[in-house]
Amino acid sequence: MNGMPAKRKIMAKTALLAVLASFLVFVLMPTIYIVSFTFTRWNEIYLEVFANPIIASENWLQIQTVLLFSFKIALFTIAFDFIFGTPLAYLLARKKFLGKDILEDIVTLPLVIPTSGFGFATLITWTTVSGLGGFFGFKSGLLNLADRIPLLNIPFLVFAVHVGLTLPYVVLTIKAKLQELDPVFETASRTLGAVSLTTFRRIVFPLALPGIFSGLVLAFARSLGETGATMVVAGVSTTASIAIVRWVFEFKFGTASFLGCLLVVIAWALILPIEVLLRRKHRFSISRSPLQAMQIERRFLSMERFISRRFHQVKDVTSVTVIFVIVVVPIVVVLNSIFPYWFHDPYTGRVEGGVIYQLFGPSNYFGALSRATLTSFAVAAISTYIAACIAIPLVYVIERYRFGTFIRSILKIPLIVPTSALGLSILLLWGPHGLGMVNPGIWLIILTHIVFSVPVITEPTIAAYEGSEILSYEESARTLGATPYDATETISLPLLKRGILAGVILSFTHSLGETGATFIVMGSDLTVPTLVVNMVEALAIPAALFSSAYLIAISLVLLAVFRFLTRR
Amino acid sequence: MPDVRLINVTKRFGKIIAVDHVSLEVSDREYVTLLGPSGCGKTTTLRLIAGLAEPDEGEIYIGDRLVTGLPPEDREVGFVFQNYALFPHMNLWENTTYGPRVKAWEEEKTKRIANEMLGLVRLAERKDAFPHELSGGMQQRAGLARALSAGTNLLLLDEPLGALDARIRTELRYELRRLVKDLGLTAIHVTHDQEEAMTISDKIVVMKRGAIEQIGTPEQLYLAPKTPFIANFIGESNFFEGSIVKTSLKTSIVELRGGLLIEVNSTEWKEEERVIIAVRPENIKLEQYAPADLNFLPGLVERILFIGGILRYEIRLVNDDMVTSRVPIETEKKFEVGEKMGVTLDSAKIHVYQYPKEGLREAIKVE
Repeated sequence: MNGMPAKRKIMAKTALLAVLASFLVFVLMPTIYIVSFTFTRWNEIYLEVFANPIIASENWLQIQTVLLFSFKIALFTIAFDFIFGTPLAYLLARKKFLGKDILEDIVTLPLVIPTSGFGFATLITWTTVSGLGGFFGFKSGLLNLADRIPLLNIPFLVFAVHVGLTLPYVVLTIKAKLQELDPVFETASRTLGAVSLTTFRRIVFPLALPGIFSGLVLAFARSLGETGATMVVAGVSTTASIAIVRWVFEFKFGTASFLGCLLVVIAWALILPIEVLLRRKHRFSISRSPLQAMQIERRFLSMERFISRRFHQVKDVTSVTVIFVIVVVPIVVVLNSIFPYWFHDPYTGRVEGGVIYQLFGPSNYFGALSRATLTSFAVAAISTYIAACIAIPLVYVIERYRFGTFIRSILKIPLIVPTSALGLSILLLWGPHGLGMVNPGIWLIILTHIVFSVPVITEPTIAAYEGSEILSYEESARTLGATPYDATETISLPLLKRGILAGVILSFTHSLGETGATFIVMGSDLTVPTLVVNMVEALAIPAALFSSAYLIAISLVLLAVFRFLTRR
Repeated sequence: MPDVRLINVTKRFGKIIAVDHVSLEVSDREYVTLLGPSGCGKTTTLRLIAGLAEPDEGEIYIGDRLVTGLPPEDREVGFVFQNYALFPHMNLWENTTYGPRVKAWEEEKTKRIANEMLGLVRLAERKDAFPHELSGGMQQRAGLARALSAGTNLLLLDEPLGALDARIRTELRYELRRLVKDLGLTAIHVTHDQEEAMTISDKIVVMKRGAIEQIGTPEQLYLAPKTPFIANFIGESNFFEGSIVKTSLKTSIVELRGGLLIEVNSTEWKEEERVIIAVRPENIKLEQYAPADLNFLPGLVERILFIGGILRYEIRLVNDDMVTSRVPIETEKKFEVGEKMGVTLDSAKIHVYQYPKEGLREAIKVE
C-alpha cells in the first residue's frame, strides 16, 4: 500500500512536467523566438536594417513608416470601436429583447470568420457593383480600393476591416464587465435624478473602466497584428504586418524579423499590464476641484438631459446599423453574389468571367481549390487534435496550481501577436534557417496553427469548468474515496465535455480561416484562405468569390454548432 | 390629500401576475409598511411607485401628479435599497451630494442639505470615508442620507434593514421612524419581517400573491385579523379545525376534533359549516384538570420553553391537536412536563373563519 501513493506522485509530477514542457515548446517558444532571434543575430540585422551598405538606414525608415501607419489605423479603430461598441455592449449586458442571441452571434462572427474571406467580402461590398453600389442603383461600386477617409487619411477598406475584426474584443469585454457590475448602482443613480447618459458618465463608465480599458487594448493589439483581411484590401498601402509578409517573400529576413520582434514585444507589453490590472480590484476615486467642475458639469448635465430624452434610441440603432453594415452585409453579399456569377460575368456576359469557367477552364482553379481544401481540413484537424492534447491537461494545471493564473494570462498572447510575425517566428525556429527540422509546408503550417489553437481551446474549457460545480463534485468524489486523478477522469472530464467540444469546434473553425501566419510558412502547400489571397492578386475574382463564399459558409455552419453547444 | 395613490394597478411578468389590481392610498406624512412573504408583490409595487417598472394596467399618483409613464429621474422620490447601493468609487460626501449635483442645484444649497442629512444620520465625521470602509449599519444610514439629500417628500424603502445584523436592525428601526417623522416625510417601507412592521408603522398593508389581504394599524391587524393567513403571519396563532353544531342569538358552538366543544361569539354561521378557529397563545389559559362541557380542552404538557420573561407551554390535547400557550414567568401556577391538565379559551378572543377552499395549510402558507 505504501508504494502506491509515491508512484502516483511521481506519475503526477511527470505528467505536470510533460504538459508544461509541451506548452513551452509548442506554444510559448514560437511566440518569443522571434525576439531571441533578433538578439542572437543582432549584427546581421543591424547591418541589413540600420547600416545597409546599399541603402543605409532605408529599411529602418520603412519600418518606422509602416509602424506609424499601423498605429494610426489601430488608434482610430479603437476610438470608433468605443463609440459604437459601448452601446452594443450595454444592450447585450442589460436589456432583454427579441433577437438578442442573434445580435450576440453577429458580434462574435468576426472572431471565427476566415480573415481573407472577410477581407474579400468587404472588398466586393464596397468597391464593386455587386455590393452596395448596385444595391443603391449605381453602375459601379460605392468606393475605390484606394479611397481614404477624409481628415483621417486612412484607407476606408482597411479601416472597415479592422473595425469589423476588433469590435468583438471591445464589445464582449465591456459586456462581461457590465454583467459583473450590479445594475442597482444605475438604478440608484436614476432614483436620485440622473438621466441615463449622466448615469453612464458618472457611474457606469468609472466602474467599468478596467473592462473598457482592457477591451480597447486587446482591440489595439489585434488591429496591429491583423494580416489576412488587410492583405486583400490594402492595395498599395502597407501595414506593419503586411510588410512582414512582403519582406519575407523578398528574402529581407533581417528587416522582417526586426519588425516582427518589435510587434511581438509591443503585444507582450500591452497584454501583461492589462492582465495584472484586471486581476486586482481597483477603487477608482475620481477627484476633481468642485467649483470649476460644476460649471462644466452643468453644461454636461443639460446636454445629457436633452440627448437622453430625444436620442436614446438613436445610439442603439446606430450601433446595430454599424455592425450590420460592417459584418453582416459583406457576408450576405458574398454568399449572394455566387448566383449571378455562376455561369458568366453578369455585366459583360463573358463566360470567362463566370465561376464555372474559372474553376474548370484553363486556370483549373478547381484542382487548386480541392487540394487547398484537403490541406485546410487536414491542418485544422491535426492541429486541433494536438492542441487539444496540450490544452486539456493545461486547463487542469491552470485550475489546480497557483501559477495557473499566470499561464492563463500568457495564453492570450498568441491570439494577439501579429499572425505574420508568428508565422515568421515559427519559420525561423523550425525552418531551414533555424533548427532545420521542418520545411515550409503542411507540417510547418500545423505547428503554427497549434500555437493559437491551444488558447482557443483552453478558454471555453476554463469557462465551463468555472461555470459548473465541478470543484464541489470533485470534492464529493474525494470524500467518497476517489483519488484526485480518478475524480478528474470520472467526474470532471464528462462534465467538461461540452466546454471542450465547444473549444475544439472553435479551434477547428479558426484554423480553417487563418491566413496571415499560414502565408509565411506554407511553402507550396496552399490552404483555402491563402488561395483566396492569390486569386485576388491574380484578379480571378469569380474564383475568389466562390472560394470565400464556401469557406464562409462552412464557418457559419460550424459557428452555429458551437453556439448550439454553448447555449445549453 | 393622499400623498400616493394607486388605482387598480396590475403588473405581469409573462404568465405570473405579480401585482393584481391593487388599489391603495397613503396619506401625507404617513409611515406605511407593505408586509408579506417573498413573492407577494410588495417589492414590485414599490418599484412601480418609484418608476423602476411600468404597470400594465392602472394609474399611480404622487401628490396630484399622474406619474405613470414618467421615468424614475423625474418622479422625485427617494429610494433606499436593501444592499445600500452606495457608489463604491465615491466617498460619503460625493455619494450624498450626488442627487443635488445631478440636478444642478447651487453649491450653497447642496452643501447645506448634505451636511444637514449627514448630521441627522450621525455620519458627519465620516464624510471622506468610502463605502467599503463603513459597517453595514453605517452604510444604510449613508444610503438614507443620500436619498434624503436629493430633496424629496416621499421616501421608498426596499427591505432597508434586511442585510443588517439583528441588533443593528432593531436600533436602526427606531431611528428610521424618528427621522421620517421629524422631517415630516411620507414613507412606504417594504418588509417581510412582521415585528419590524408592527413597531414602526402607522399603517400596515398585508399582501399575499399580488393582492392586498388587509390594511390596518398594527393593533387592528393583531387583534382583528381578517383571514387565517393574517392571524398566522402577524404574531402567532393556534388553529383548530371544526364545524358548527349549533347557533343561537349571541353565540355559536363549534365541535372540534374528538368531540371537544367551543363556544364562540360570532353568529354568522350555518349549522354543519366547516370553520377554522384561531386563538393567540396569550389567550390560552392553563387550568387544573377540571372537565367541563364548553371551552375546556384537556391535555398533557409536552414541552416547556423558556424565552426570556415568558414561558411557552406546548400542550398535546386529548384529540391529538397541539396548542401553544404563552404565560408570563411570574405566574404562580406552574405546570410540569407530562402533567395532565387543560386549557380554557376566552370566547371574546377567538377568531372564527370560514374553512378555506384550498385547505388550511395552503391558506396560511408563507411561501
